[in-house]
Amino acid sequence: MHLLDVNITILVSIFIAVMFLLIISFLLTFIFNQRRKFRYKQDIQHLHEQQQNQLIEAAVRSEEMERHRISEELHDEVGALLSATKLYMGHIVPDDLDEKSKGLLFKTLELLDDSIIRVRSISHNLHSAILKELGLNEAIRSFFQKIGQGTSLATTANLDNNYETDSPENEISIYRIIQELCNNIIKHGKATILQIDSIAQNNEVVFTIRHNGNGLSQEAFERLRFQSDGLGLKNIQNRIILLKGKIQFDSLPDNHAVVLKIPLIKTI
Amino acid sequence: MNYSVILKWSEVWAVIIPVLIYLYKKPNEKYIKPVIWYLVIALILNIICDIIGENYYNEPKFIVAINYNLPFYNLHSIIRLFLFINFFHLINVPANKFIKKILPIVIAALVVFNFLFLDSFKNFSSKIFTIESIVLIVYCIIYFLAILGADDASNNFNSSLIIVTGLAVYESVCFPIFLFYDLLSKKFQDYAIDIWDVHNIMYIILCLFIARAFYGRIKI
Repeated sequence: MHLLDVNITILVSIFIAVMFLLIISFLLTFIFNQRRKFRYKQDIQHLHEQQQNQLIEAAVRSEEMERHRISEELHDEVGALLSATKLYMGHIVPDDLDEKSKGLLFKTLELLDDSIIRVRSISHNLHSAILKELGLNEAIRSFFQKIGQGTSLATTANLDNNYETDSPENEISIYRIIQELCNNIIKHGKATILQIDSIAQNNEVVFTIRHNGNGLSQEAFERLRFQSDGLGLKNIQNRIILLKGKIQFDSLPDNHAVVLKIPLIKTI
Repeated sequence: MNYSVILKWSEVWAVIIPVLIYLYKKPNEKYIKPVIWYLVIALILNIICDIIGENYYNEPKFIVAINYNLPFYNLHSIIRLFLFINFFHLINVPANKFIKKILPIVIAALVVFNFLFLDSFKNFSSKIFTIESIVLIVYCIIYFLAILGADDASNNFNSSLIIVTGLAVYESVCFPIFLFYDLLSKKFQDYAIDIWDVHNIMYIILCLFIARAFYGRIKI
């Protein structure tokens, strides 16, 4: 009887120990499984993001190549044709013409000069030669100078020179974003004052574009970038994703700002 | 104050920890309500049980008549069972709607049947505690399996999962104690008193898990 009594207490103790070990093993297996499932989900998400970035990168690169091709064709084909036309027109002696024809000749030459300048300007806008030769800041300054020339638009560019980007491709993307934003501000915002500032801090460069036109709010940007006629905003967003940057629209009654934060910039 | 006194009163001070955390953090999830109700009722019942236990030889006649603190333990187990069933239903544990409705009625019928025909309410009822353990362990397992089978994965233990984990540990380890306590308290009183310390340690763990749940999620 005494032996049986001892056996029951031992049995209960063993039962408790077994239950304790069982629940601990179950919980450890549960945690291990959840962590593995979480890591697997993260890997899948990472792969998905990587694939999306590759697609965006391919789209951006092909767009850049297309811009380059159109720019070269405009410069080499249309530009050359216009120059040749001007050359031939130059051989016409005005003294041999009557007054009416003389006037038409001068007007044609004037229009030809305008066309050559326009074609060259469009070609330069599409081409990123100045960016490759003189760098991002000079390209932005040149762009701001050009869009302000001969118009009522007052432009200012205060750029920080104490940084450099990791790759020329990134510089092209930053330049295109700024170009697209400024074109939108002029075309849709009807701005008369346009200013860009940049500052390099905490391993990122911050570009702030300020203007006095009709500004876009962050909500409007989020809404418009999913529309097919989204003012090139989808393009801007794609380049932002590619640069792992951030874009923020601040809309105030008389002053609007677009803030671009681009990481991976080496500060000098 | 020695170790045994601290452990003896653990059913009181351990419950105060999550109650204080609740008052400090004020979590407002719907499923917290039955848990906090349980803690308040448990605190009152445990204070009564421990005070009666402390003055075992000098109790008034009516306390002796109801067989000291044993009915309060039975009441505690019944309240814990129903409030935690309510908690599981509020955290949407996957179960048939009919089962969810019928289960409390079946359990209530079993409790009434037990105290009418099998055990006296005045004595510690191992059967009630065992039913409580089995039902709550089954609920815990269903909840864990539902999370394991879910598509979305998280590296966090949210408040409800922390409470379920604490409850699973408490009920699993205490299941053998509850199952054999009738027998042990009659034949091996010293061993029964010692083994109740294990229950008290598990109860502290349950309370700490509940307190941690009131604090918010844990990253695993």
